Amino acid sequence: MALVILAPTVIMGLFSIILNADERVPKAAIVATGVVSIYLDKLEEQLEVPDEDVDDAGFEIVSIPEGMQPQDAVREGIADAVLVFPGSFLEDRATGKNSRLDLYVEGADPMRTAAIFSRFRKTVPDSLDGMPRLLAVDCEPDCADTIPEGPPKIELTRVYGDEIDQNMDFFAPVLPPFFVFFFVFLLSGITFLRERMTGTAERLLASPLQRSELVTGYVLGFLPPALVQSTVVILFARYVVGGPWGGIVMVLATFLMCLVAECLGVFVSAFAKSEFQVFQFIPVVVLPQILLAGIIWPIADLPVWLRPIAYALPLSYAVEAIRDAAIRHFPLVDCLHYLGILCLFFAASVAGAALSVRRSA
Amino acid sequence: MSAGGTAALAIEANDLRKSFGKREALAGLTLRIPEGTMYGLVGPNGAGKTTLFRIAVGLSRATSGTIRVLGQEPGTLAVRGATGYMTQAEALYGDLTVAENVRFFGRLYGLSGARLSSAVEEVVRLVDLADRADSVVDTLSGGMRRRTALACAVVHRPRLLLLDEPTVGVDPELRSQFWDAFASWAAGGTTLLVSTHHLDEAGRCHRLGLLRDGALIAEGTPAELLSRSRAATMEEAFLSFAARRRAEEVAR
Repeated sequence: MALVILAPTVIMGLFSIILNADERVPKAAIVATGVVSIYLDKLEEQLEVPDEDVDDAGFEIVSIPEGMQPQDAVREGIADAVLVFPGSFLEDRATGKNSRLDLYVEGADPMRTAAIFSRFRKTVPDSLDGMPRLLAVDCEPDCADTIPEGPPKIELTRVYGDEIDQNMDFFAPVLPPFFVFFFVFLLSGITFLRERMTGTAERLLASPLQRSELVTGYVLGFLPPALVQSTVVILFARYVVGGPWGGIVMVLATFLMCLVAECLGVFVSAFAKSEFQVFQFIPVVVLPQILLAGIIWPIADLPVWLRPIAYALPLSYAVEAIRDAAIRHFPLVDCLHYLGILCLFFAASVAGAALSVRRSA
Repeated sequence: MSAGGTAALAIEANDLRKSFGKREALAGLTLRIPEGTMYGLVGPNGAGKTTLFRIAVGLSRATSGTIRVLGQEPGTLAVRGATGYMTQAEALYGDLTVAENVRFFGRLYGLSGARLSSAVEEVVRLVDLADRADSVVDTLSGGMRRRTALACAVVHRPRLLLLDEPTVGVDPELRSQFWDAFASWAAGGTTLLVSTHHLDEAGRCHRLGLLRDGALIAEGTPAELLSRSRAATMEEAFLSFAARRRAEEVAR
């Protein structure tokens, strides 16, 4: 009963906290070549968010090592965005040519990309006010008035996610592990609860079977249908929903989530006395993963105190691994650490499930 | 047999107590069941019968007191392997056939191959379900399911058989068949601890323990109990012992 009351309030509270949280100020680096580099400090000052006025128009200015390519700075997480002033910027501006700036962003998350791009479009024109307009030598008096003024064109380059042209491309690859987790958790929870309710669990525990063998047997028994379900869901995401393909990383992450869900189902069934109570665990076990595991919002955008909770959820690692593979095109070897963490989650959930199957009370 | 010439004890409980919160399910139960005995545990609902079974198979721990099963702590691998347990619930997989259920439980106790097949065949025949061996359990009557549960409990030929109300919901003819089977297993050296509500059938046990409020109020062979209570039937004997215990409690 407590869950029925507590769970919705906790979930609504989480929604409110996340949606009302201040937007994370992006880290931006400015790279200027040629004459513009003289004005770099001033540019940085104007693009930086004033402390007392954290709005959606400024940046946390960072510097990148000299000689480092903007793409590499973004790739290595030094900056969320790098704005590059080409050497000819002032000349182009003075002669009325369409002055152009190059903006490099990570690009995997279309919403984040749009937000960063919007910040630059709001901030950059004002930041150029203090910059002199160099006029051509042969400029007649007052010719400056004839030069059309306008904001420079900001050319966006995404380091990753070139093929990401709609939000669904961002979400589609991470939906299979979530849905597989959700349904396998419910199925194994209810099935093991039935073992307890019909008395077969008691019979099994009175036999020479070890608790760990019981849980392992359950996992193995569930494995074939769970793998079929995972395969169907992955293929549906790939060929019907569309979106980037995460290859073997996507398959492994989904299968591992399936295994974790089986054990969590067994674990949770120890605390339920009916199928109805298993359903009540959805807000406790499943919903936080939707909100916190990076499916909708990047974990980095969550309030600081919520991030440790996010990192304690297995789905966070499946989401990171799949986005790395599907959107950032990282090879398997670069995603192994996430898959390794999922294996640890699986081992911990087997142990938790085995402990929950109490032989003695 | 022990070195001293007395039968070894299959179950030995001393001052066994088990509490669930303030309620005491077992209140100082002392019990000795020699090997090869068919021991009947008789008592009303809530007397503590199932609690004793669960402690004996290692599914529950006593709050205090000691218990040895087949000479060991309950719940050890060796004890579990040598014990057959039929719970009050049918504890069967409804979507499997009779033979599949029995085979599954046989495997849990280490049977395999031809030994498993012959054990399954034999035990299914023993409970008179040979013609329904391939029937899905959910399609069977209540009595047939009880028989299947019994077959699952004995498929590995346990040294100790714990039967918690095995004849509940079973018709008189089948009950008689069950007790015939129990007697033949006991004759073969198996120790049986059988709980029952049916006082008439309890008379077939070698020894009986009358359990009330978590403690034995009388214990002995059926003939001894009838003689001591000067009753004509086991039911009268139980009521007589229960009345005596109440009177003693009031006197205290």
